[in-house]
Amino acid sequence: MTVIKYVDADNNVTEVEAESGESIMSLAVNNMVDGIVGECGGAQACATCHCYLDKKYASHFSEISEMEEAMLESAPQQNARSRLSCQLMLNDDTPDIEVSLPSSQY
Amino acid sequence: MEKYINSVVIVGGGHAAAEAAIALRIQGWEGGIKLISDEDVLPYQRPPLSKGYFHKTVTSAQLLIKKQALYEKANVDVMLGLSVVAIDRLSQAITVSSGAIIRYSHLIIATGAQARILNIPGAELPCVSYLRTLNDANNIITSIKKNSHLLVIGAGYIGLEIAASARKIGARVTILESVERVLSRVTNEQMSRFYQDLHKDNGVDLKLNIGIEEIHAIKDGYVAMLNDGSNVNFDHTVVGIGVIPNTGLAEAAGLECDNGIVVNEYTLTSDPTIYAIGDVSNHPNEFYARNIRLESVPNAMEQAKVAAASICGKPKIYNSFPWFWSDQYDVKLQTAGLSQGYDETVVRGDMADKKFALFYLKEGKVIAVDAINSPKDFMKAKALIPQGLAVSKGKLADTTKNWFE
Repeated sequence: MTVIKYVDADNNVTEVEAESGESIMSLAVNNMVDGIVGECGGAQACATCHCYLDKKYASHFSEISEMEEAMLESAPQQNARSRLSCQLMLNDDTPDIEVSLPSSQY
Repeated sequence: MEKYINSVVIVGGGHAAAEAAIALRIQGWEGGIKLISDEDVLPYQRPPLSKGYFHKTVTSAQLLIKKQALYEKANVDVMLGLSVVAIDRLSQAITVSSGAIIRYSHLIIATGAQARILNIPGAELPCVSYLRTLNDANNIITSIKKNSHLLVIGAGYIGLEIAASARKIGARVTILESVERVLSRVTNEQMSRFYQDLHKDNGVDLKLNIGIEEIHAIKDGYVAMLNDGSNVNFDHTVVGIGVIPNTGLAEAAGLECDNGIVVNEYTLTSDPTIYAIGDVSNHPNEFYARNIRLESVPNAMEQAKVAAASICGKPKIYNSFPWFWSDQYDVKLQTAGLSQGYDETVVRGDMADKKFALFYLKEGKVIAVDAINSPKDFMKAKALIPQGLAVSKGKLADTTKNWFE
């Protein structure tokens, strides 16, 4: 079983079983992971699913697009590891992943 | 009958309803939660119906706002295919279409809005559809084919998005708009012109200032008779001429209604046990200092959380800043704020590049922005406008420097 681990800003950890075809955002929304909002449902329009992904996991996901980068640039608490979790799609080959979350999505 | 009941009943099956059900559990509600929807499927996202779902990049499973397993985990009793026919405020109970009576301690009305219906001869023909539900979308998708001719009636967001999606699969598209420009309710003349050019450049036949009088079936299709005496032959039509909030239940129950159900800053109606959230709520907005009703997902989601907080005894005020988005062709529009009442506008960037921001100002302050393929301007504006943003027109227009620094 593959596990996605969400670590919030207070270091509370929620572990969720990964589902192929879901994104890290939709998996969070469907498992009551507070801290990921996902207002636009994955349209890259809101940046309320902002998370931090360690570089060591980057190769398991598609590269950051121009639109995603532009959205993140002005997202609160942005840093070099910032990603939109709606763009981090899970498939059958995804290994265990840990993402951390900002203290607020606004 | 027991005297007290500890159960929240949510009427509606859209974003606001689904979010409220889960938010109640997240915020600590231990009583019952019932979600009653007149649709026969779990609550789903509506924005992709005209875009991603149309092009099959979003599946029906991905449309679901929350999955079945989550409602089960959160112990939410989801009752589908049932409509609520009456609210009895005195005994705090609702009657549903099956005849059952369901009691509530708190009621959340999230009934949304319905498409305004075209009222002309021929409007009942099978070629006429509206885009509000998944069924509507499935019907439209099977009716629009490459080389078929789609007639779009009304150039609002729904009409323009479906036009763009139909062009993408190679359908012929004609848009009819009764006033002199597209998106006239929400943008200024420059932005309307931008979208008119965008659709024309993509091969849409756009007819402004024109009304439709009748639709008739003909051999191999349909014909629309227009008020300038001309006709358009077509295969299918999508009508997007606005929505009407579903206030019937609330009005019959004597709740205060005025372009929606009137609520306070806690989303509470004129009855202390009844909340109204989402597209149906007419709520106060502090920044614009007036009551507004929004047709928007972010509004529905946030109001759901605000209602849940009150019900859980941790009241918070709804004070989110309105925002919207629309995807058409290669253009992403992100709007922050409401432009109504502006006295000046400034364009930052070159409209011909399809990458610019149009700022709306009132008495020297920015009140809204329409950002075209400019997410950074949108994000900054959305965060800064609510704080009272006074930036000179020169600085807003100067693309060599950031306007927000």
